[in-house]
Amino acid sequence: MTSTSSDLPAALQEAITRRHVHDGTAHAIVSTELKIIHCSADFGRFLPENTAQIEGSLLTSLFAEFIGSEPYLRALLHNPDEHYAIKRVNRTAPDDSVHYLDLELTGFDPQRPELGWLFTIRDTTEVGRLEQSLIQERNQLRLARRELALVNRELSRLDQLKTIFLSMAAHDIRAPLTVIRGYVEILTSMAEINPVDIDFDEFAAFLNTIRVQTDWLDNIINNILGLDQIENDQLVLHIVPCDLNSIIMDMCDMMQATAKLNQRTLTCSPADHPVIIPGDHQRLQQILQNVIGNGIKYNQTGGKVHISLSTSPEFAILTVTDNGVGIAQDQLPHIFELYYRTESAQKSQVRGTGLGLFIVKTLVEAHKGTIEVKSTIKSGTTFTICLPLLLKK
Amino acid sequence: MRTVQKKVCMLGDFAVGKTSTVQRFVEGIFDDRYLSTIGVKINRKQLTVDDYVATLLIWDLAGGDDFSSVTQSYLRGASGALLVCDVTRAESLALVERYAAQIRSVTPSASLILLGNKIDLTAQRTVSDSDLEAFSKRINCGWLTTSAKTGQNVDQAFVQLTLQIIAKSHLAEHDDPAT
Ligand SMILES: Nc1nc2c(ncn2[C@@H]2O[C@H](COP(=O)(O)OP(=O)(O)OP(=O)(O)O)[C@@H](O)[C@H]2O)c(=O)[nH]1
Ligand SMILES: [Mg+2]
Repeated sequence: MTSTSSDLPAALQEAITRRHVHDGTAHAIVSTELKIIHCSADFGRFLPENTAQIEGSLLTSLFAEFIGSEPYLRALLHNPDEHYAIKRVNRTAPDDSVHYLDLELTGFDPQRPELGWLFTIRDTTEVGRLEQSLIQERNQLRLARRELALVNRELSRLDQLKTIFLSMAAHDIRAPLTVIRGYVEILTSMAEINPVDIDFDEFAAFLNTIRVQTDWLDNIINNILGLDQIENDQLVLHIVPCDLNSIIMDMCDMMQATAKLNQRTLTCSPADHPVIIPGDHQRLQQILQNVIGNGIKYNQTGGKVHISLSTSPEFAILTVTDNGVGIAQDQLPHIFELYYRTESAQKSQVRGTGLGLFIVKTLVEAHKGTIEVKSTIKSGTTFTICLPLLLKK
Repeated sequence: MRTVQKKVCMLGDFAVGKTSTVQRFVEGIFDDRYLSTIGVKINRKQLTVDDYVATLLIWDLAGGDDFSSVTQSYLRGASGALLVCDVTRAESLALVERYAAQIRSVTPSASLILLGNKIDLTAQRTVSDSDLEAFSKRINCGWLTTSAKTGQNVDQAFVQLTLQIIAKSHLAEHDDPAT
């Protein structure tokens, strides 16, 4: 059975029809076929401007919010305690501002379901906007709190790593010191016991070992100081024109002793001309010492490390290749992170602080250069460093 | 061609990208700014799948952990839902289970698809494919990774959901009144 306007008490019809919005609400009478039969005078203000006809239209064609809920609505007609409400329906005005409406359908009379529903629209824009800004604040606060917790977690991870690093650094410093002390004692007793019969070759070899260990100590301390400067944003480069070719040759000579002591072969193919780049001489040495040092450290007896330098029109291209233990593919993206040590490095007997490559990358980038790494496990690793040439103006 | 009209809901924790996903699908745009939704915003979009012209009424709802009766009332008559989580916030995945339970309690036959959104934020990702796979098994639905920012898989998400809904209504004995 369908409700018609004549089924409704005349006074109610009249009241609804004449009703003007003073409190932001509008009403309509909806038939059991879900058609709007009567509506209050300015019901139309809640509809798009081009809405041609209100009375006689399907409720669902004017308010898509009710599509899909029809079976539930019908059940409502027989239930005096229930009504159907959709709160804070968003409507975007032509000026892009958001308005909020509460929509509500209530059966007129559970005893007479054929009368249909009373439909109420309430403009809740004011309270809706308040609610929106509260929820926005709450959500943003939650996001910020979460962000803070993440940063905190990262800070305490770094703090933990720093503690580990300190004990490693202490150990790293002690190891060459122990060697130095041992050789100094041997040399002293050699000189005390039989100064006349000293084997000078042996004496020189011992002194050389001491020099290698001192260089190593120097490297560790430079890295620690370098880290401190990087962390405190105090990394200052003293840029002057540098011949990278001669730095490489010098460095290769300097590190021969370390290579020999570890039973590795260190070779160098320099360019056949000076390669001038704007750089900090000492920092460039530090870069090389770390990369070559790694090639020597993470290698086996008889292993090889090769340095070569070439140029492109704009860059000096330096490669350091070893045939050592290699780095697993999944660890490659992390090797330049601070304190990072690969799994194989951690398992190996080789001690390290996880500082070297972090400092290398930072220094290369401070020279406006790039560093790349390619590696195959058990075959070796190649680092390629590109540094901009000093271009003639 | 047959025409159908279906109500689908966007459900998930706050700021996971429900509104952005709808905006990408309906208007083809993305906005970096975050404006929390309250209540419901309905968008309409027509798409053609198989030999159907389907009009989706997409209910974009407020996110968060409020599972009150008000939220319940928004879910009536829905044929399906996209359950959205943010792959950079693992806790947003946990909430999906409660949303799935809630919509199933209102409309047990609703088709669901789990979306791992913000897949473009690779470096911050904490929810893996296998997490999504395991979770979707638990709540018995399919899953996709999406990005409202780049548009990756957004159309596919709605198309797949529509296909599932149509397949289900084929199986149903009587037609859905929203059809
Ligand atoms: N990078 C990225 N950001 C996104 C993506 N989707 C959404 N966002 C951003 O995430 C924030 C939240 O997006 P919304 O779409 O408003 O999230 P919502 O789920 O609707 O949030 P509530 O309405 O509060 O429930 C906004 O700043 C968006 O720009 C995405 O795929 N990638
Ligand atoms: Mg939203």
